[in-house]
Amino acid sequence: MAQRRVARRASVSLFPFLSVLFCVIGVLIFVTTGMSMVMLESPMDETPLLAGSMGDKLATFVECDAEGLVLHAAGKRVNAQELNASEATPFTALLDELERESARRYLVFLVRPDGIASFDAAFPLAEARAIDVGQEALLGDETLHFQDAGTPHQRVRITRERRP
Amino acid sequence: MTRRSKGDFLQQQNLDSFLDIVTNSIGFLILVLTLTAVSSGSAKVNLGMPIMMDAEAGSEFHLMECRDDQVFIVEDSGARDAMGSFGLDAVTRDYEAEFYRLEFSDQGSVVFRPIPGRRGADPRELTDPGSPFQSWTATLDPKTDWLLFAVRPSGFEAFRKARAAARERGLCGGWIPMAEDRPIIVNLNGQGRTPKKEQWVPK
Repeated sequence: MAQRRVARRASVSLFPFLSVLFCVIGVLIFVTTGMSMVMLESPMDETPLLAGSMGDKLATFVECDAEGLVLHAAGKRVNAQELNASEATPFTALLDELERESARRYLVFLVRPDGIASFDAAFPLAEARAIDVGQEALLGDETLHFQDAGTPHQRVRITRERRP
Repeated sequence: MTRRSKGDFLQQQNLDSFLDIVTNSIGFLILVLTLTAVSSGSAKVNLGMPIMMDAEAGSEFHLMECRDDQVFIVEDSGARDAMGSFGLDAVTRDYEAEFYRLEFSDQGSVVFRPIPGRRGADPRELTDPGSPFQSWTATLDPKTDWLLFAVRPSGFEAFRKARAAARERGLCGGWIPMAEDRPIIVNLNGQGRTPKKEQWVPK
């Protein structure tokens, strides 16, 4: 008896593939939702930019904190006791330098919340000189990044650590 | 009667369109995820050019205070009226404004004492069109009026937000860092240090 031959077609079941895709969608939705919730709960991380020039003039940044001053151009620190003394300090040397080059440089105080006493001690010394002076408020958890190594008075980027 | 099996049914369906939709959805989600990750990194805020200059002749500053992460209008209209009439009315020695008690001295100075319990503006509300800050700044003329912020250590962040809100309205500002317990004193006779205005040039 002739055996009837059944034509068989090769078929591929796409259901396992679909399952994988659905799993991937689920994971992505979960991750996106999680990230969005974290973003909504935590304050925005800001990166303020501080200009470092005024026309042809370049800014020289001096940071005021609880310990005293940080002279970023010179890479030196002046403590609060030195500021109140009438002796020559790296800060007064910097003021001399800025006064000589006042046509192309100016001074910017970057004041931390705990550096107001240092600022109060240093600002009158700078104000008495024939130089342009600026000031900017820095938050306690902000970090300074000078964009050009070796020329710290060019431009500074400030990043903020993410708060819990 | 022929019975169609499940396998036959599947073989008759073309799943290509459905797969297209699913893969497109995944692509879209990956895009959203990438954008979320990038935007959560950081937002750039230009602080401008921090240089203090003498204010233009004829311009007038309006004193504000940033403290305890709040922003206070020190010289509101009532306080300004009281300061303007000082000397005309010898009986009036003190005046209570919205946030401060004004104590006048014979030497022509006024001390602003914060009134306990009065809450200032939340920095997040400063940009709301209906906020008191926006209503108040709408009465100021950016050509002649500017804001002078007395900034306490507890108000640094509020100051930056308030200044940004003021700049959006075209108002320039100056600021004085002040220790937490140092009183705000204004000399009505023009003596003392002249506050300087911040020159702001967005880059």
